[in-house]
Amino acid sequence: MKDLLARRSSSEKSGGLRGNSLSTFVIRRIAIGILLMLGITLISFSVTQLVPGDPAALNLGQSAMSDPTIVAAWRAKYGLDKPVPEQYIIYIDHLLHGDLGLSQQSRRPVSSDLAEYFPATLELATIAIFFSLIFGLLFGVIAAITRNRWPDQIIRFVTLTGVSVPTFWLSLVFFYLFYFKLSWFPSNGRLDPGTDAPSTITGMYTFDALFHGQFNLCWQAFRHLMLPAIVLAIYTIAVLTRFTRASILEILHNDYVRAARAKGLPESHVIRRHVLRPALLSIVTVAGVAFGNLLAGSVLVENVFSWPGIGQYAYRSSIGLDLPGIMGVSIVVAGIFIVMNLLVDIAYRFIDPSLRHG
Amino acid sequence: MNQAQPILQLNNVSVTYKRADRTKITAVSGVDLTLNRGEILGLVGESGCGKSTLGKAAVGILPTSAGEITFNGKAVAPLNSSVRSRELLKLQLIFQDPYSSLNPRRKIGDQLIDGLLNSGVNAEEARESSAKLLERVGLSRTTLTKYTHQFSGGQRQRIAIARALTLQPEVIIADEPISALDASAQAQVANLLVELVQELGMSMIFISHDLSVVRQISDRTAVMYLGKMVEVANTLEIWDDPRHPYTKALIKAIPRPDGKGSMPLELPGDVPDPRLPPSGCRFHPRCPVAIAECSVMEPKMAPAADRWSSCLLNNELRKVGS
Repeated sequence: MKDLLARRSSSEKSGGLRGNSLSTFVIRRIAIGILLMLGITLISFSVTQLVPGDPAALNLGQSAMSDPTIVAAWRAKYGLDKPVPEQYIIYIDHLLHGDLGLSQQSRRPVSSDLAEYFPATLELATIAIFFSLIFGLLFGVIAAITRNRWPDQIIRFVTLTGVSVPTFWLSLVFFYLFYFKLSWFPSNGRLDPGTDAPSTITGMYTFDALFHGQFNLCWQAFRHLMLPAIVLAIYTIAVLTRFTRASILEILHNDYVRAARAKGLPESHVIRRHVLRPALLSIVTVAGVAFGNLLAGSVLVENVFSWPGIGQYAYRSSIGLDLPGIMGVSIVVAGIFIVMNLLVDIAYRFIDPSLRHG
Repeated sequence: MNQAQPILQLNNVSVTYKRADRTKITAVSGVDLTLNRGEILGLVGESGCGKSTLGKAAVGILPTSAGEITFNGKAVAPLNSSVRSRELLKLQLIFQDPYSSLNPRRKIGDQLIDGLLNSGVNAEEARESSAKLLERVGLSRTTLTKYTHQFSGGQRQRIAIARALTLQPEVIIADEPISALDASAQAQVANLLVELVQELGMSMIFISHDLSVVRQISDRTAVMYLGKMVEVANTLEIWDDPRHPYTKALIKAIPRPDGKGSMPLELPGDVPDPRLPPSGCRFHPRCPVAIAECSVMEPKMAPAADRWSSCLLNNELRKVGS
């Protein structure tokens, strides 16, 4: 976050943000983003090559492995028989034509895999960040204005627990408690067993079901979302609460807050008008990064709840050393972070007037 | 000022800071001070003498550890999350740093009018009177729709002054209002403050370490040293005839254009650690005329005619003289 702010102020000085219209700013950032993505493909390609292990051995059966012609044919099919630098150039060439290659695991195009897995994560992450923003801001404000009194102490205890508890443990405990023991929430997966998914528009079941007017299905999909979303949100709520509290307390020390109180304004007005808006700058940064993390998928939570999202796809691709799959996930995740940072910077312009009027 | 009418009174006020290592610093210790209706009182002293602390305590930003502060006969409540009472809205303050005293994320107009709206003025009138105030402090009315980063330090301080004036205060406490500004803006802002105080019939405590400015603008001057008030007197008198040895040293230390009197009387040593103030008179270790009793007896502020100074010698001399 400090990096972000430092970068922002330096680009401001060099005239990067000032005086430019929003569209030139966005276009410039997208161009930089594309270069960044290219760099990221190189890094993840190299790292995957450096990992010991033979994709053929992991993807072909015992008997197939003993037949050199099959192995050679398999390698040729995925282009693994060529020298590594050439493989990379071929990959980039295909990528520039919109082709992410074939997954060795699913034997389907990586792009259609991603199109299937990503909406599941997007749906989960959206609900989770929604919870996080509501409760994170609420608890943060309460903690700041009751500083060191009992509500603050309770919130501090709960949020410290929230950031400290391992997610996989929390997932299992929630699953056991709220599904197995209490049955408040349905079981694993995105829908009850034997239920047909709504026909695809966005791939997000709640949205698609709603669009087709299948309200029961929408409700069912929503109920399936709740438990993993809550588990994911707990960490983000804790982080946002602590950040909100800290940045509000910092702003409460400013003389303009004293001036506002000296004018006889009620505290609710002081907090809403004078404190929350300046505090939003750092909150938006943290929320943006947190949403990026959620969108990149959680391997642990998605595995515990059998959620067919990007985290699970990344996990499967990794253990299978499925190069196209790993590359595909890397590109999507890199793209998510680049877009999130861009959105955060655009949000700055609306929150911080000094970036708007050059 | 024939009939001095007190409007803000500080009686035996002490302010104590607790530090992280749990030691306490008494920044202001048993200070009496009266601000009269219509006057400008200059409060001077070295850095760390407690003048800003006293100013902050006077409006309730800092809690007092002893003593009482009354504004128009009503106790000044601490400035915290509870709503300020209507009477105390007539006690306003101007801060040192016009960068942190204005909200960077709100339009200047919104910052000016919210106090008015809150006290029941309708939006149009509030905007109109704020615009007039901005014009009075030398800015255009379009300032209302702008943000603070579009203004220089001097302009920001003018905006801060306009904001303090929106609720038609009777007393303004200005805590080093010009020390953060550049030289050209300093004189302009100081003059503006004086004009406004006279024009609107307000009273002001003007806290500054710049003696020459205080001399120019204030009716009375109060001098502090290490948390104590050492001398309070009419500005002209204090200038012509400083009674306390510390005041004498301060005034002689002002550089003058003719080269006379620059640091003729050096004060030996530094300001002592406020955690362990010297016994007796706090100034005695550095005082050029101290006698043995000074390290034992604490001088009380003694009214000498209509001026006060807290020096044993003065009191002794006066006794002998009268």
